[in-house]
Amino acid sequence: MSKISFLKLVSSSTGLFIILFLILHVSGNLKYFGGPDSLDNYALFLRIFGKEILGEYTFLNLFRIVLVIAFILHIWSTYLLTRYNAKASPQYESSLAYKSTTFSSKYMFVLGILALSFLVFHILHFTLGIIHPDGFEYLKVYNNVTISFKNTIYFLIYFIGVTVVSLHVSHGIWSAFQSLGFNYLFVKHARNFAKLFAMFLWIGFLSVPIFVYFFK
Amino acid sequence: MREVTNRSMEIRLKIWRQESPESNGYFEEFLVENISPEASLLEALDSLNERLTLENRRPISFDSDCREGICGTCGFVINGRPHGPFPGVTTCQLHMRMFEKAGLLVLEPFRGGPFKVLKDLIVDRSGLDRIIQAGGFISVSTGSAPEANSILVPKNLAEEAFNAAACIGCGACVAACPNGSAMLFTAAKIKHLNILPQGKAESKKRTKNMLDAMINEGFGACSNHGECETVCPKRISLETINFAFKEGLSS
Ligand code: HEM
Ligand code: FES
Repeated sequence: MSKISFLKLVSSSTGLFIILFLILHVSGNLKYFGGPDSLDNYALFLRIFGKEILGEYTFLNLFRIVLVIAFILHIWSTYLLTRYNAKASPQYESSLAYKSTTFSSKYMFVLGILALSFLVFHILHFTLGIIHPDGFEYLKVYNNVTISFKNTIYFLIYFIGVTVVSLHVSHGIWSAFQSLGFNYLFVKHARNFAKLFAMFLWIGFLSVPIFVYFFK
Repeated sequence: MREVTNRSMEIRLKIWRQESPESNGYFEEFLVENISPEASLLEALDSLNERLTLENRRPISFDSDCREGICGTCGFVINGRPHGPFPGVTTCQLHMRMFEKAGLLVLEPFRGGPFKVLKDLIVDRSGLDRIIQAGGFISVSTGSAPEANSILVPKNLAEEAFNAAACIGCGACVAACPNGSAMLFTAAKIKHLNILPQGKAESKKRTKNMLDAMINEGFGACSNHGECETVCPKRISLETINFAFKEGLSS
């Protein structure tokens, strides 16, 4: 396999895998609207899932490990691809008029780095509870979500973070289909559909913070 | 038919000047007067060059050959668009009447990846040739022309191969790509050969070698901006790249 075929295979499949995880993640978030029991039970469920066979936390931790590996591979492959691209990028003296390049496609790497920073913050905040506003109690998910998003700074960080991830995905998802050589008729439509999908993701992830910050 | 007139027009041309690959380039502005709207852009440059020669100034170097859009020799960036603002045509197919309202044309050589300015608007595009050398051929001995029906090619494949083969290798896709990638060019060559029975035998080796050659020559990897498709004078589409990526995965 050629070098770029391999890198594309890695970047696209890990990217799509992470997007699948994001879909699961956002549907979990919506349990907030079901009230404290609904969300907290769901959080508990994730921790004890597969307990009969594997013991508590094992499944969750396995899933976490797979995700971390996916991220490492995604960053590694896209870094190499971006390096080839940056080296070959044309330096025009007059400016080139682009027609189909989008903000997202142009700034994939920057958006990726920002997404990663947001991710680190997000884990330090909700997963590990190392950074948090007053009144935060480990594993009291509903309560933690509520007090966090009542806080303007936390609200803004999540607003920006989710926007960044959605922008990255709005190019990434169709780019991945194209890089994997999916049926072109599908890919062609996916290019428009990707923006819609990213918007759903954006609305889904922001629905809870916006609801808490403005209406609760 | 279009009425031929005796009208004439004038236009300002801001052109990239560079003596040699090593020297620093700069823009120089010229006023081209009394040019027929029916003249081609390259003819306008020819007439400007005659004047410059008479004035003992260095004429503008630019590439062209067939001047009918089939050889891929011509090409520069015109007002920010490789081959100009009109889709589906090469630089040599542009006529001054298309620019009657433009007032000023900024001409800059193709840039990106290993493209290096040799002189004025001429760039070294030999990197594309070396991608071809890596696999853009069929190495079976074919003998004399076979009987037409001895190798059957389905109509749709013949057409797809023909569409890909329409690539004239002008390099506009590289010039338009924010990554300086030659993916549209490389993919067109891969597809054109891989889908025909004669090319199938070597398809895996060809795909791998040509994609590797593209990177080794210093072109960017594609990140699906889709800019190439919008400037290709032969309207080769992103479907071609989709095909090459697919072939790449099994190569
Ligand atoms: C929120 C998590 C992320 C998701 C869901 C995601 C998803 C994707 C997808 C699906 C692609 C398209 C793959 C391709 O066609 O090559 C992509 C491309 C890309 N990603 Fe991510 N990504 C994420 C995080 C990151 C991070 C942390 C970086 C770190 C730098 C990054 C950098 C890039 C770059 C540079 C590309 C473009 C690669 C190219 O040139 O083709 N991404 N991403
Ligand atoms: S000179 Fe042959 S394509 Fe323009």
